[in-house]
Amino acid sequence: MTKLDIRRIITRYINQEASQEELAILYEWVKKGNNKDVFKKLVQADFLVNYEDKSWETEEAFEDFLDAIQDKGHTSVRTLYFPQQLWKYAAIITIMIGSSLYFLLTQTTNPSSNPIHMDMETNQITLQLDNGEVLTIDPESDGTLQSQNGDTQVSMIQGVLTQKEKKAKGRITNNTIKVPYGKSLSITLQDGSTVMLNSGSSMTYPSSFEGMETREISLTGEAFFEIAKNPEQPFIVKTRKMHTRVYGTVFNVSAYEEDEISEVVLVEGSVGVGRSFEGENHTIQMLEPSQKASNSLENKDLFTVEDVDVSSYISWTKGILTFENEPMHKIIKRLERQYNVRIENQSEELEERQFTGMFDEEDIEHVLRTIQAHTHFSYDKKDDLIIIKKPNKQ
Amino acid sequence: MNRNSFDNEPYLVEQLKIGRKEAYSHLFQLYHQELCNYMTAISGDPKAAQDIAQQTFIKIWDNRSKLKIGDNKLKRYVFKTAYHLFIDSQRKRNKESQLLESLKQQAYLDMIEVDSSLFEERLQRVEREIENLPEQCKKVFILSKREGLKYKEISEQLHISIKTVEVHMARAMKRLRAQLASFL
Repeated sequence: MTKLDIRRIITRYINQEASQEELAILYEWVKKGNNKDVFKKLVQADFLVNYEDKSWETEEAFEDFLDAIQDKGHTSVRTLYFPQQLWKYAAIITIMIGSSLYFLLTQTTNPSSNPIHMDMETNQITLQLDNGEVLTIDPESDGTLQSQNGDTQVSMIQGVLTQKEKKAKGRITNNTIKVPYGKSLSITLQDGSTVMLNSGSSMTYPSSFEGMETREISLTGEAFFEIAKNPEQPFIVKTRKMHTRVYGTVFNVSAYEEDEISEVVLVEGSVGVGRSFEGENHTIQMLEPSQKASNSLENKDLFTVEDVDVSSYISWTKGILTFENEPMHKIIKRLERQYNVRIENQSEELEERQFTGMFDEEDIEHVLRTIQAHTHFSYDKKDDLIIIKKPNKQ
Repeated sequence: MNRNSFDNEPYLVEQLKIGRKEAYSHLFQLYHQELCNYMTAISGDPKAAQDIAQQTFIKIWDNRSKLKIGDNKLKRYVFKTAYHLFIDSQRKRNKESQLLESLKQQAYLDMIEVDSSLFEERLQRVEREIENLPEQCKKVFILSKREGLKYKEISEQLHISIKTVEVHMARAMKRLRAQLASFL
């Protein structure tokens, strides 16, 4: 490690551009000798270079503050308007894929005809092993489970699931993990990559990637990936309509079946996106950071690419629900997943109304009441069913 | 000093705790400008800096009954709260980030505690070092850092390639950093 290299990495780190790998190098370096002081001085030097004495609207800010605390007096509901642009530095991509399947299913009166809901009704995270055995996982309590044949050992440590096979077998064993609505789970794969699964998601993955040309997993729902770098063995995320080939290291995939538009958002690094039916080697679109690729409904051969603010796509990993100019019908779907409820909207005019907001661990009623404060509707909540109605005309 | 003056920090903290609006007004007067400058330097984004400053004051209001602030630590408390809000907005969970972020935080917080004359002196030193940069390098640096132009805009204005802009910027930063780190 030359002096120049480490300075370059520090600069990238301060600019929030460092990769996981550079972060690891920096971490090892900073622990040695008096490097901590060197690091701090470089941080301070950068701070001074960037520092400017500007004039800010203190009076106005104070007025806004008074308004903000005034609003709090009326209601305990808190809508956070956090600086969204900060997210742009996070090294993540988001992929959203889906179909109209969900709508057809929810319109039926029999909830058991919906396979998603049926699975989710167990309300438990389950891990199905290759031999068909199903283990129930509780992310809240640490512990170790063993499969009946003793080949597989599954440990839960501080909310992260790890799986060990007793002996390396000649064949690949596949596992399926299912996370119900209202829950999420982190899992470490055999290659060291970590995956955080959002509510209502399932993922199929091999116990080991050894001896395979590529590292492949399939996903329904949404997940945040931190992929261990291995250029020899690309990582591929397969979903029903798209596959994503990973060249960089960290990204987020969302592939719920109920959304019509499929989307890929990249924040840092590099990914290629292609259609599922064409095989993993056929990449249609390479993405640059802060770009979103969506499948086009009119022309199936095209992905539309646009620049986006990625914050609202990744805030779920912090337990924050973000909407940015999102129509109510989409918000409803996300609320259903997050809170494990069913929401029936009887107000047609509300369907397309757009809302922007951010909720940090509020309960579902707080969220609804906050939206209510900006528009007019009433709702009834019975157990896990919420019915949104037009306002009562006086 | 008058005991019941906002200039008396223990009194100010006491009044912040009971939620007296005038005390918050004074807190804004004391730190809002500097906090915005500080967060802009850290985040590189004036808009985000203002939002964080605002969230900081609101958070202090929200936690007012539980405020625990050591003697003469109000400023540190305010800036630390702001920095935490900034960090929370980013996804930093692994051990590498935790160590580096805590060092970074110490480095930043050290900066607010130097007295203002020393801080001024350091800023002047930065200005002098910028003045001493090679001519074209200086031009590029000022357009980028002081006037906030994008590399593409600079390349158009100075009729040089974006690559050249990048090289100048890297050179400028390297030089400034080396000069500044030696006197910090």
